[in-house]
Amino acid sequence: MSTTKKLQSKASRKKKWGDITLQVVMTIVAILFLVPVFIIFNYSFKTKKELYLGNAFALPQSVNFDNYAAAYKKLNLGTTFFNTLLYTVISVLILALVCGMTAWAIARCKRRFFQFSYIYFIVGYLIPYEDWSLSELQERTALVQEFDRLADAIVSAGIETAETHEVVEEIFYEPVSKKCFA
Amino acid sequence: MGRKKLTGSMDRQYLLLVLPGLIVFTIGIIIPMFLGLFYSITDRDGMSAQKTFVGLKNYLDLFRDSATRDAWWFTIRFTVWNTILQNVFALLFAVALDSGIRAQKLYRTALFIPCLISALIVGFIWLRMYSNVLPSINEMLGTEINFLLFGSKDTVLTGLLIANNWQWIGYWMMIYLAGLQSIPADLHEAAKIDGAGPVKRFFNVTCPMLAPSFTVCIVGITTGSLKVYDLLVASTRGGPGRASTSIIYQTYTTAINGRQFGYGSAMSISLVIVLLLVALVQVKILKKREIQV
Amino acid sequence: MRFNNKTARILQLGSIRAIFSSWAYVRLYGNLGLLAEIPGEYVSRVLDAASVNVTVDGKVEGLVFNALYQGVYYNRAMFKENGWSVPETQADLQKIIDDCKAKGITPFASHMVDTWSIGNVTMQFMMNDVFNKDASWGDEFRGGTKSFAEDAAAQTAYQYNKLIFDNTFEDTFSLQQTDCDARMVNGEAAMKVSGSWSIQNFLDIDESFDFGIFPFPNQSGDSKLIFEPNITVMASAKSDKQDAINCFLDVLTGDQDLATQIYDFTKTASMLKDVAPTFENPSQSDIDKYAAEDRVVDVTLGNNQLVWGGFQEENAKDIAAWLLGDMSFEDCLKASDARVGTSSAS
Repeated sequence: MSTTKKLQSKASRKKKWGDITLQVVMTIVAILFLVPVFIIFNYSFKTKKELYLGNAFALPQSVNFDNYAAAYKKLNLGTTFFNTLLYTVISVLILALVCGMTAWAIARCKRRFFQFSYIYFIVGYLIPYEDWSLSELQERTALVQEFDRLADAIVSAGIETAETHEVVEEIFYEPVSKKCFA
Repeated sequence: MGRKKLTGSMDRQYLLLVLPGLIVFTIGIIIPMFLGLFYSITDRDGMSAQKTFVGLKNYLDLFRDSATRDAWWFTIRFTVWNTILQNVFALLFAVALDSGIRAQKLYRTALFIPCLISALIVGFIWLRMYSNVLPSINEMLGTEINFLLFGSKDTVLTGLLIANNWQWIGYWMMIYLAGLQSIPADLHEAAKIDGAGPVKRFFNVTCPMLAPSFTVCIVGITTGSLKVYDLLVASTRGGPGRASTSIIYQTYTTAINGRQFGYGSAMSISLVIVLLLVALVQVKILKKREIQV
Repeated sequence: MRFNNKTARILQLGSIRAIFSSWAYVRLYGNLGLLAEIPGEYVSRVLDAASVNVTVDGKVEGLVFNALYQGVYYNRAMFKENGWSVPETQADLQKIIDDCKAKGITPFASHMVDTWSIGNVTMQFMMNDVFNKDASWGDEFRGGTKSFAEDAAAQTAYQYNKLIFDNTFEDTFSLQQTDCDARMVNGEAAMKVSGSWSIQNFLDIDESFDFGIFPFPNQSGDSKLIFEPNITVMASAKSDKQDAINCFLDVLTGDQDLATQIYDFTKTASMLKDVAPTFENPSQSDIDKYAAEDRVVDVTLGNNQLVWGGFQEENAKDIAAWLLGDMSFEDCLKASDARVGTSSAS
């Protein structure tokens, strides 16, 4: 009885040491990973003189938000942030919808066309988008805007139809013959 | 049963679901790619309206141009090292976090934060780290370690690898973590009962079950590394000299600064072909190892 | 540079009237026939030296509004303290370099991690050693009569880079521009071959830093201070609103208060006759001195002969590789020769 107890405690002691070293190692790793972020955060409060002439790890003399104010002005943060937000929300909605639909269809339907479209889409992921120049981007945006206008036209036509027509439900009964016994 | 059940209307409905994606995709990516293909056999300089056909001369020049060959060599080295390092560390950290230590969520967040920053900022941060922050450790501790990794062509790859891995390890770690947590616990129990130690269990139970995660991570890391650009623009700008110019960086400089649009298009088409081949080969090999549970 | 093709196409359509741009494009667009001639009334309000290089086929097609100066910035207080005078010849410069090293001061501040800085100083060197003797060196280069491998003057210009590299910070290939300027202000270096973009950096770190500028000495001892036209106004040839353009040009060149405001805001040097900026620039006295002696030269000449993008920029990368020992000097020259195809904009 006592030997099993000893063996058990030995195993659990080993496990405990293993756990502790793992904990320590992961803590160090996490700290190392966060250090650059904190340093940049630190930098954001320093004045130009402190940045160039002082030690990199030193804390700023005073917490002043001058840099943030300057960044806000230069980036025109109000407008650009709103634009980015709008763009992100819309993209996420569209992507979630379209990708969800497409992926479901490709996964469910085993026909060759859909397998081909799977590869087709993968190919697109590989192409780096930085290869576009500004003018090409413009041409593409113009196309999208055309599509936009078309979509608007369709939607307004749809709304018109809905307003001038009424939806009526009718129930039909169809005679069906079923075999009850084999 | 299978094919006969699919009526025409069901087919049409499936098609309808796929169509929006296909259309947007074609307009946005495939058509420009063909345009690029077209430009790659011309002499276009991006400004004058005329383009003269030069056939495959651009592609032949690609092989002769030593700057492009160097760019490819750098990109390949960067990709290989990245794939190895990021995979190994992401897997190690995922296993470490999955083994039931405390404050797991805290570590996950800490490691994941860098991938939320854009590559441009990451380049900016690490440029400052190497030239300002880390050397001041030398001042404080009185040591003489050389932290100026972006200053010489022998160390610039190391510097960039550190920066890139810092950014992305957390991301792939999450994928491995998800994969690890989807391994049914009874497989581990069964292996334990059979007397397998942790290392044996890792290689014979965990790794095979992680095969789908391997596929995603390896393909993702490889294609992402082959496309490295933002990081370089913000940190080394291809330097010192040309030591850290990636193939995309070379394409951009040639096509835009050097005004050789046709040649640049040929370069980017060659990159697309390589990416395609690499991805297809990887997917083929890795998919074979996957077990559908 | 990314907007080249877009701007060219817009000019072709005539949909914008005039554009603020940079000197380089006058040649580019002028050669494509896209620009209209600037009326002589406004051209006469600009310094003559400024209109030389915006003339296409004898017609002035660009109005140079302001410029940036490039040369060697030096720490005036340090020069006075050590009894150095502004060097006119390479021998004078070498004396200052030796004296610096004896006193533990780094002669030159540089940040060669920025390959563009190498390209920039190389063009400064070529202006005073190659283009002052031969204004069409670039055309001859393309014609095959001149080459980097054979021309001693061009090689001298490249070799000046080595002179700087041997006498600058050890970590110049890892040094940020701002840190480099900080060290200069701190007194760790005596001189920096640069341009007026450094002025703001210097003053940001220390408002009382006293510095001057002199042209880098050449082989013949007669180097001129280099200026680079900055904002250049061009008009579209196809535009139908010529009077609106004229009105705009009139205000731009005629209203001296407005001009001064613009110069102060952009911290650039004036190209209008009788107008000078009033922002603080310790090197202004040196600039005025050289301008009065007519010892100034427009770098557009060099930049038109050998363009920046695709040529100067790529050569700079080879020079960096050579300085770091990764490439031999001969290979560096050969690579520059091999790029002859992209050395011109037309």
